[in-house]
Amino acid sequence: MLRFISLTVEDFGPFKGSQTIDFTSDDGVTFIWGNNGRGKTTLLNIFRYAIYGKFQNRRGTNVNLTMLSNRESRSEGRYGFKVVLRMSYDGEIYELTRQFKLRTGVSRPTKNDDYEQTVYLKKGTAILSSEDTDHILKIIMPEQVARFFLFDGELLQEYEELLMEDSDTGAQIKKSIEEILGVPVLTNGATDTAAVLEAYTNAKTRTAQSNKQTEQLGSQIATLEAALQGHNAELERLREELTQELGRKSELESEQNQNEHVKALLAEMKALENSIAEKKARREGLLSDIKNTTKDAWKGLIGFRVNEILSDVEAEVKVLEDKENSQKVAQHFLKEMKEAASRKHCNLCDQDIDDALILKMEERIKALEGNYGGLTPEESGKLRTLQIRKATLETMRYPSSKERLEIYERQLAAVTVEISDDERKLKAVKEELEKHGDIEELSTSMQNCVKNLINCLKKIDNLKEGERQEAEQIANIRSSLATLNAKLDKTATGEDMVRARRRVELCEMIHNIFEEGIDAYRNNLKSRVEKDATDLFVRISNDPDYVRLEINDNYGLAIYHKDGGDPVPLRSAGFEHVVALALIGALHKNAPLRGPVIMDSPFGRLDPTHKENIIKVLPSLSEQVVLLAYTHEIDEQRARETLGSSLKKEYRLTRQTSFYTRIEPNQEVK
Amino acid sequence: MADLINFRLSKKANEVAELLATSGYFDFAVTAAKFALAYAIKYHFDEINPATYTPSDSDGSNYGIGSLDSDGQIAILLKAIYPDCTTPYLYARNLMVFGLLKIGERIENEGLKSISAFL
Repeated sequence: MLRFISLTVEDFGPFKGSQTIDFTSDDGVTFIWGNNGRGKTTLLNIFRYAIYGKFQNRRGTNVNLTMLSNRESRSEGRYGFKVVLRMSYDGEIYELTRQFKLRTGVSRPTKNDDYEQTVYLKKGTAILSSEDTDHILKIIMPEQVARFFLFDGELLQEYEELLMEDSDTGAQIKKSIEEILGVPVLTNGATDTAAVLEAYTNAKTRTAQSNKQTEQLGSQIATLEAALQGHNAELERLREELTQELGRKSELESEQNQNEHVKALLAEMKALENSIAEKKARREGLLSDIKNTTKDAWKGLIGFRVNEILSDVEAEVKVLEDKENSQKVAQHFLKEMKEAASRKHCNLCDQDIDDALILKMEERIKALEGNYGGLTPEESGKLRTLQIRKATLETMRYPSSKERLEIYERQLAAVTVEISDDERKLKAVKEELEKHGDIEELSTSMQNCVKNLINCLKKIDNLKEGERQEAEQIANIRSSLATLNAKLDKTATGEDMVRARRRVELCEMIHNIFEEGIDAYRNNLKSRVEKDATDLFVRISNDPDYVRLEINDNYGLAIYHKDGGDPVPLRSAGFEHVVALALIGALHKNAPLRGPVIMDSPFGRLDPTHKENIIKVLPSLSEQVVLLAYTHEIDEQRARETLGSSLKKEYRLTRQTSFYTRIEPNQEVK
Repeated sequence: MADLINFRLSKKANEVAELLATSGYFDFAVTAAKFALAYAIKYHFDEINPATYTPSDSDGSNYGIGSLDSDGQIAILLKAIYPDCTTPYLYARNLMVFGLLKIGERIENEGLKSISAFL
């Protein structure tokens, strides 16, 4: 069995410098915790790159090597990256190194060609040749079965396709399943015996041609066999091309999905940029309102003081005006008194006044004239000045701008906070976009992707039609050949023909053994996988009514209710994950090939109970399980308790900066 | 005594006026200075006698009276508030410098979070 000993990653993605994850040599589970953006998916891809030398970036196939290097390392002048995977297999220790470094003479890369790749595999202390390296890697972890060892929630979702008829993805997964289960051992045998059978059939035909009695029949058979060979070759070619196109379609669809994600990010970026621009315009408008208000704010400010001074001035004015007014009233009264004294008759009471009273009145008039003398010239001048000042001050009683400014300022503060929030979001979106490479090229890339996908789908349709026509032709030729061969067998009686016929018959029997063996092996495997998957499913599913899984020809698993009847329809996305994990576990149990399982956030749509049940069965999936999960995706403490001694190690991806993540042993492990 | 035709703020007062203008609350430093004049009258009326106050220096920017008081309202106001005032623009300069320094002190202590707080 393959077991990972350690992984060292240097300047790859967010992992700056050289960082190592040590795995345990004991059976069990390793947790690697990390929040979004810290590099969990990159880590999964690093494993994929280490084993297969391939990248699976979010944009599909066009990987920009510079963008894969750590951004901070790049700014420090270090370009390229390195991954070292140490592993054990069949008692041997292997160390696989893959590295991209700058070519001699290049100091600042502009294209992928500026890098050169170094790959070498050490077995013990000896470095293997590149042929041996390829051979060993193909044996210990064939790429065709990668999906059962390295997967995320998205890949688990694909297993749903196994339940669908004529699904291309389903067909590919089925092929991978048969690969991991070892079915090709028999199918290769069947292919080889078919080739031998064809050779003996040809020999029999040649024998028939050389015999005068059967010469004509032999020639007809030879012509048909040549045609059959041609059609078989063509069918084989079409199948190979179809397999390639299906792979391409899958890549393009994945790229398309990533493009959709990038498109959504771009739309979000645009919306945020528009929102920021609109809010900045609003902020400018508010600042302009504030400036317009503060232009005359000084008037409102002096209002209080103007009122205070005005009230003092008004008091002074009042004293002087009162004095001036009382003199006027007194003047009128004195005038009346003087007239009464001179006429010795009072008009008010219409009575005559005697002389004694006249004397008293004259004395009184004299005294009063002194008391109500009116304003002095200085006082009159002061009154006029005060009155002008009062009038001026009255025009200066402006209302305060405080309330209006407070409203503007509140609005300004709110819009400033909104801008700051949007700018923070925009920064995060831009950082996310940067992971997808050159944004400028994205539009062209998306258009090309759609175009390529349309062409690919057309080509697949054509290839399938070609395959159907070839199969039809082959069936017709086989039927004609069967008729001619039957006629030949009746006609030919020579010893050489009998011997040739016996050879063909023997070969046919051997070939049939393989064909029947394939069916028997498949059926046997399917029933074992069905049983093991059911065991796992029942342990995970948390629903006592769901009692078993039933496998179909494509290895799709249908859920059955305890009451029997049809399979459970319309399974939730969460249940698809559960079924997929049950299938993967069952495949690992029945596969001749065993190795570590590395899962990236497979719990997305599961409730806490299902998550816990999956944690429980993790040790059953494989001897070595590595789980990449974000904090709170599962309850960390609960997971530790659930796994107990099966939990061997924990690491945490911790943020140093936006572009630098450290892989640290988890300090929280009790 | 002849009144001012142009005036210079003190260096420190000028800095405060520039700060208020660059903060976005005022269109020009001279508008902020006019605001400071009113601020001094409202909050520090008894602390300053603009007839006798002398700014520490005149190293700030130079302004023409026209830019400060194009409609003559400042002069009218100051004469109404200070009846003995015959040199309103001298008073205005002194009140502006004093007011700006007081605002500057508040900004140093509280920061410049809003302008309505000064009203």
